[in-house]
Amino acid sequence: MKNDIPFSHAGVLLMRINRILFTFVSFLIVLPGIVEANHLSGKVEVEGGKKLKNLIVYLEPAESLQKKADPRVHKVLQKGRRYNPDLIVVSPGDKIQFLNDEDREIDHNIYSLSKFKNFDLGLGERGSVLEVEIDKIGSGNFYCSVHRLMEGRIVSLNTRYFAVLESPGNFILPNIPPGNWVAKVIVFHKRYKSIPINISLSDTTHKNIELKVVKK
Amino acid sequence: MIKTSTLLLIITCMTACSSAPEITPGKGAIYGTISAESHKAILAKASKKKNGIYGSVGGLIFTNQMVNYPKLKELFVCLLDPSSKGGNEHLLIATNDNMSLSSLAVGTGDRLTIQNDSSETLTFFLAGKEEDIQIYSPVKPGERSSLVLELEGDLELGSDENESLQTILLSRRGLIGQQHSSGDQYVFENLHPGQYKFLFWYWRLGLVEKNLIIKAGENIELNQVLSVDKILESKNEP
Repeated sequence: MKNDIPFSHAGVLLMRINRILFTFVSFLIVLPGIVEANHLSGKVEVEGGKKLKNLIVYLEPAESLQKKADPRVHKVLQKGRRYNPDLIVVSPGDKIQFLNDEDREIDHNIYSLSKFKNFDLGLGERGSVLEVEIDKIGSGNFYCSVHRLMEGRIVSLNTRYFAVLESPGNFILPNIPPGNWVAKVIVFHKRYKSIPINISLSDTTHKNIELKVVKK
Repeated sequence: MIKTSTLLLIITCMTACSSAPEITPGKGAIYGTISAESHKAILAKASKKKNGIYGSVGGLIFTNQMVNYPKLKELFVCLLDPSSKGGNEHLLIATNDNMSLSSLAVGTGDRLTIQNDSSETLTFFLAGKEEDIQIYSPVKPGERSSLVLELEGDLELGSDENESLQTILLSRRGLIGQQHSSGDQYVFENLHPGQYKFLFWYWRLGLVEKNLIIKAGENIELNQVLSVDKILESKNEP
């Protein structure tokens, strides 16, 4: 029992230190404007306070001289007849792999007939991995031809500097190279549009911006 | 009793088959059947297998989680007539949960009326790409609001207050649309001779476009099946 008392005090102390550290880190992440240099922080505000879902904040190079991003592979799961994630942000050259991870024999057929990208990946049986390569910027929906609630969206950007916000609020885009950029927000609700902002970042500066989403 | 049921069967068979419309002198017509079906890979598996959704050989068992292609009700056959100035009337009904149609094919110049059967005042809008927008005046419960469609393209009708109220619109200049269920016969009669474009559309699948020349005194039969693979093939046609 005696040994328990100092141990308990040490535990409480550790918990307090943890809490202080957590608060400090949260403070750095949440509070715009005090993160380290060449990180971009800010806030998205929507006219009328509307709680729009799935906003994509991104930085587009102001000049089209940026080198092409290294290709990446994105994975989408399908368990429970849902795409997870159902919003995929990619760049041209990236591949998207669709894994049929259903826990029983359920077939899928993933397709998109959008103007952005036409594809039909055929029969996707349990355990299969089907792949599509994205070759340009734009966006389009994809579906399963078998299941009516299976719907997702691909957004292809010519930048890796983006953040997906579940609702309007604060964001941080870390490690932005110096240069001239245009900050934009993709809004899926067609009643609204974003107002882009031109920004210039150097090695030693950071920016704190406010992006407005207004009604058309 | 047997005679009556036999007669009914004969009538059903007769009405199910595509029948050519009567020819009007100096005019032409187009007619056929519009339907939708599952992807060919799913149908191929159904022809070999029997378990799960593959109920009997060659058949599928559609659950409520599936797209039931043989029972789709919002298939549109559209004629693009460059001389049409619109003016067709469309009515959509909004409840607390949804719109009466999830998709609608319309022509610019058509009037779109919304009846608000929900419990709150709603402000509807029509939006297209970029800045394209038309806004309805707010409509109180039990009342109607309408506007004449000016926007062209793939549009979305929604409301400021309730995001579950959405209808996808296919809007084209000179579009005259017909809504059908899968397996229905459609017909466009009394068409002046000339070149026309026909669109076959289901919102989740997209469009099939056909260019046809209508001649005087001629009926053209054009049957169209909408499925993922067939629509993709049609897009890849030269």
